[in-house]
Amino acid sequence: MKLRQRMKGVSMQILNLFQASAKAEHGDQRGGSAVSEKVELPEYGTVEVGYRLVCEGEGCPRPQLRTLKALDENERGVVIEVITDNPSVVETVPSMMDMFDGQHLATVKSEDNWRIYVRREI
Amino acid sequence: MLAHQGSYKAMAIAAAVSVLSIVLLMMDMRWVYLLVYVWFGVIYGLLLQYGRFCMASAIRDLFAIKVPRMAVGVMIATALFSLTAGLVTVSGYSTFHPHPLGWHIIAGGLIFGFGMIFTGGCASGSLYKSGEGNVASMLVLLSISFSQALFVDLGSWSNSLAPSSWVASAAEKGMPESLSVNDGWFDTFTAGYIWDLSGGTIAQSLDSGNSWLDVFVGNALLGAILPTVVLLILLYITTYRKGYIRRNKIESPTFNDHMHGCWAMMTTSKNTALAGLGLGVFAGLQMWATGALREHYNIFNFGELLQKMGYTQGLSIQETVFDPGYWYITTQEAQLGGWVLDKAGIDVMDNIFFGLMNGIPNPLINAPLLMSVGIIAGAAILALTRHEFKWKVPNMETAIFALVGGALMGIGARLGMGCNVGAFFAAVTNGDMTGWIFLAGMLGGGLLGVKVFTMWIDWRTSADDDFDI
Repeated sequence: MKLRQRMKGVSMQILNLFQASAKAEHGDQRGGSAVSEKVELPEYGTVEVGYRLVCEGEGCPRPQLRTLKALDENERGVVIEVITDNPSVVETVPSMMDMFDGQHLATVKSEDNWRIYVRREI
Repeated sequence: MLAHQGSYKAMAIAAAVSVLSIVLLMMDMRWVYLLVYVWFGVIYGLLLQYGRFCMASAIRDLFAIKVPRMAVGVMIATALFSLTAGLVTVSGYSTFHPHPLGWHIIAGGLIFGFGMIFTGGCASGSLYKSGEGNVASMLVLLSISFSQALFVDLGSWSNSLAPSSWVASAAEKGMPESLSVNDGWFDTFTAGYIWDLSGGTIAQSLDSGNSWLDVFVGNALLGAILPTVVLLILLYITTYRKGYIRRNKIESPTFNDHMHGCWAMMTTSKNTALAGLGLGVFAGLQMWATGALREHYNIFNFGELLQKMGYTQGLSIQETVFDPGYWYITTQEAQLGGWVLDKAGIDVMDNIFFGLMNGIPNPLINAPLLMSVGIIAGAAILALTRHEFKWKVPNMETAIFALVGGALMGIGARLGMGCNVGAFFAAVTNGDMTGWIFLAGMLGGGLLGVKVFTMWIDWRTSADDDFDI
């Protein structure tokens, strides 16, 4: 176990070196965070967003897998906002909800990204 | 303001391709042969972007997130292309050549399938995503091009890897000295192994004397449509059924409910289904157009036409170039890699792949390569119009995955003699069953790739907590 932890540590260090520039660019925006914001969704009404996942610049299947993880980590009914700039993510996340007991509320397109709103059904 | 800019840029790309086409035709009408490739490329690009049609996600989404959307799209395209390809075959314009059957197909599929999970796109998917401004996909294209070129031109160190039976068989083929058939593993593999295998289409083995029957019942119905229907039913049972029954609150589902469920699965993503239909039709039309032009100019290969037009550089020793006459992705990318290596002073024409078969024509007159450029252009046109174009610069991890995965895809494509398009899509629809074997390989590689990738993501996210710097 110790050796494994150590190997993990060393390789993380190397990767973090690589990623230093990417992190500086995106700041702490990358990753998920709990939020509490009221958002007006077209054809749905106002909902309270409980978790935000910033996936800009990420390719498939990373945003999809992270959305699933976020669904698992949050309580049922919590609205999760997935922010992406990848068109195929916009296509797959809603159909993914059918398979995982989830609900796709809306997808909102803005200037250079999409915001997808999903939650686990209560 | 920004909204308009995208449309202007899209129009500018369309205008540039049109003007270049007209200029070429004014120089010499015979360039029409090359322009058929270019414009079908543009159409494929439009359709791929419209349906976000990526065969890598067909397999990946199925295993990683149980979403059958893309797999369904591929199946629709396959069933329809088998019919349009059938029409072309019956009319005598088919440009298709069946692939030899052997273990290399499944090995190639495995490696290709494993690699494409890490790149985020298959060979054609990476092209259309490049058109959306995805830099990681451009890295994948770069990596596929050079890994193929280097793989087919492996040096003498790889000779000992070839079994002696291949070496003996290759030596008997009586190839010209200049090709040095037993220098480089890939050459020995080609001459000593691939050439001893045979392949064929279902229609060829039926050979009942009635070509309509052979082609439509053999190639299309038995070879493509029936397997497609079986796979669609399997997709429904394994992925879509549970959610459909639950969502519609069906207590005891009847056969009818399941039929409705299958239909719902196929029409969930209209974009994808429509793109599949379009690809099926245009892939057939391209074969027909190229076949008709070959008859018109009385040629078998674009190399002959290039020669008549005074371009002799980069042709193979048979005076041919790569000219499949149908939708194909990877070989022309290998040629691009080979051409660059050649310019860098590395002799790549001493191997069978470039020297005897495909040549390394100048990229500006490489028709299939321009089809790939057309795909990027078509995808960019639609992405710009729909305001979906955005330069997406990958982080280092994604970039490394793109390069390593792309290299694996390149090696897999050369072993399996094509990619998800050439070795699977174009094959199964023309009655060549090696395509299903390639798919089986891709599925195996894809399953393994998803397992490794998911482990990696889990590990990364847990590692972030432990080692936050």
